[in-house]
Amino acid sequence: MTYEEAVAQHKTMIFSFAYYYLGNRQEAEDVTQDVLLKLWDHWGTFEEQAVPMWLNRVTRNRSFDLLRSRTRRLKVVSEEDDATMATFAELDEPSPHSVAEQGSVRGHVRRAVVRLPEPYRSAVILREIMEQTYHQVAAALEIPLGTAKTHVHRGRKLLRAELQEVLHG
Amino acid sequence: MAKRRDGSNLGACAQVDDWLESYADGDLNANQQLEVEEHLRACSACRAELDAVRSLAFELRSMPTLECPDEVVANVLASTRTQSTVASEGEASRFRPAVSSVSRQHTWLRAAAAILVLSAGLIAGLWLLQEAPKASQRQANQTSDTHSRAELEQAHEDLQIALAYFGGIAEKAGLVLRDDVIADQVVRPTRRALSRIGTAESRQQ
Repeated sequence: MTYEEAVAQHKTMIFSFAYYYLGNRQEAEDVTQDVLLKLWDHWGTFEEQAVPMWLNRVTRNRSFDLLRSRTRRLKVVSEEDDATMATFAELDEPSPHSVAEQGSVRGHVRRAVVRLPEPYRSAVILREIMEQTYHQVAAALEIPLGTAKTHVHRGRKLLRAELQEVLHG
Repeated sequence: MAKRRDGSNLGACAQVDDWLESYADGDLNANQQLEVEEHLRACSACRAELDAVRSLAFELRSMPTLECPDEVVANVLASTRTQSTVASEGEASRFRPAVSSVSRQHTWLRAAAAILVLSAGLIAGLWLLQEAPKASQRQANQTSDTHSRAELEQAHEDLQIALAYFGGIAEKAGLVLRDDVIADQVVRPTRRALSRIGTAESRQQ
């Protein structure tokens, strides 16, 4: 596999994780660029099958670093972010009524994920949104398997508590 | 024990609520699973919570993956191409294995060998540069033990071929040092030496 092939294969995963983690498109682009350049710097120093796990870990760490470096409150994705809403709207069901409902619930869920504290945010995004196995989550976060499961469950419970009205509505 | 309006046990509800995520994942042991299912049969509040667990899981799993903007990838690839030295097609298409320390040593050894060979070529070129005027003078004196004009021309041609070959080795060897060291410290001085040889020959004609 060449570097260019690895970029093509993994760029979506990197960008998606960063976006759901940070809730900001521009920052997600910055993280993606940083991670891909770091992959270039380390290209050839590990086995091909280790690339996804390495990228998970580096993407999460870079996103976390960016979060910590913020001097202001985390900016959540707002309804005025037309580009982002358009992205989600294109993927919703075609019915206007269902789009509005799904967009609303999905928007609430997306914003709640961004408000989750670490380490639950990383765990939930990797497991539930990126649909990785618990083993992959554990490897990415460099924690035991049991701890990874606990983090995911705790994160989902926190989300459920925050989204009581939305989920039971 | 405190009870809800529907008669369910708050303490039991709290315990089941702690287990609901694991229950939804199928991670409970047999006894825990049985306890949860028995409780759910009797508790509408916890059944509603289980529905919320499943709804949330559905919403999270439905979140779309997002396409990375093309300009981000374009910027990265442009930057890496600028950094990268020329590599052969074979090198670029083969994923280097985890034994990269060995591979890196081989690359450095090849580069070092290329430098040594090119240095030898430079030394040979400089030697010829020194010998060319003497050879020409000896030719003019027509002594029998000097280099003939034909021999000088042959040596000149051999040196050019050798240096071209050395350049090819350096290019395949990779290049980490090619631009900075080989070009400045070996190739250009060697070319200047060859040029002087050619000038010396033409003056003797």
